[in-house]
Amino acid sequence: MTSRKKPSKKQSKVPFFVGGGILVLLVVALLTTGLGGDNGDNGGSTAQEYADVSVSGASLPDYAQDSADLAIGLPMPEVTGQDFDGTPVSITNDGRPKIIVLLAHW
Amino acid sequence: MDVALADRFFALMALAALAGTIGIIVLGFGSRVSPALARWNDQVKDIFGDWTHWIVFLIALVSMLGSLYYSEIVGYAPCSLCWYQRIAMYPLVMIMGIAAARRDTRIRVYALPLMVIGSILAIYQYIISYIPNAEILGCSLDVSCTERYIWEFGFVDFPLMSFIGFSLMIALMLWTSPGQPTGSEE
Repeated sequence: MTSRKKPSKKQSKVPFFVGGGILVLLVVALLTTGLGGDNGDNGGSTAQEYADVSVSGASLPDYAQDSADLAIGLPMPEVTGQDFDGTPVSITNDGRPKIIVLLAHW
Repeated sequence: MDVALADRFFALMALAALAGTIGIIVLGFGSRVSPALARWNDQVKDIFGDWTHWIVFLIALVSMLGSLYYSEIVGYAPCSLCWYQRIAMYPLVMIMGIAAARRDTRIRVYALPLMVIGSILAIYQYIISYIPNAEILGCSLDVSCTERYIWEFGFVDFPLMSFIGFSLMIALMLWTSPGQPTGSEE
């Protein structure tokens, strides 16, 4: 009844086209990530996003909105950990003033 | 599957889809002004015209599986804007699958609004990752909408993939209507 040729009759190559294209992309992805392409993010490097941290000393009293900050003047807990490539980092009372900056991306 | 490989693979798919979108836009609009482009347009339409609904279905399916892979297997928490895009994308798998199987050309009236809404959300999310001040819709701090879980080729992240996916679907839906010339339902 239909005047239009159906894909099944014509043996359309579109499914092979699409499937082949996806396969090619998969191979390209494999070649560029698996076989030592750029390993900027985590390919074999020792960099870590985070590591264990140990805290010693009493924590500071919680800040309450309606009264003065009780933590002012008190010694803060000492923190030891490591930075991105494993070098030990510590924030301790070594007699020098410090500024601690907390950053978030968004 | 290795996450770096998946990142690259999905990013490449997005680039291919972007190329397809641009190609369709050039052919579609170009055919009105240039006879040569019009000939090309007819040739390409002749090859792909009957398959556009299946291709749209495939895009929705890959998008759904990709987003589920990242949220359920890799473990990235979807942000609120991502959820809204999922709400637009996931039904399209069913809708377009059934429409493609039944060769139902009237589906575009139902499918296009979902695609347009999804693409608007996606481009909005892509823009606010560049210009945080443009953020007017609330995004919770629990799961940031602008954190780039994936960043390929210097510009491809999840919102852009989503936008490209929706764009290609819109382009395909507007470009052709499979089986339109017959107008009969068998």
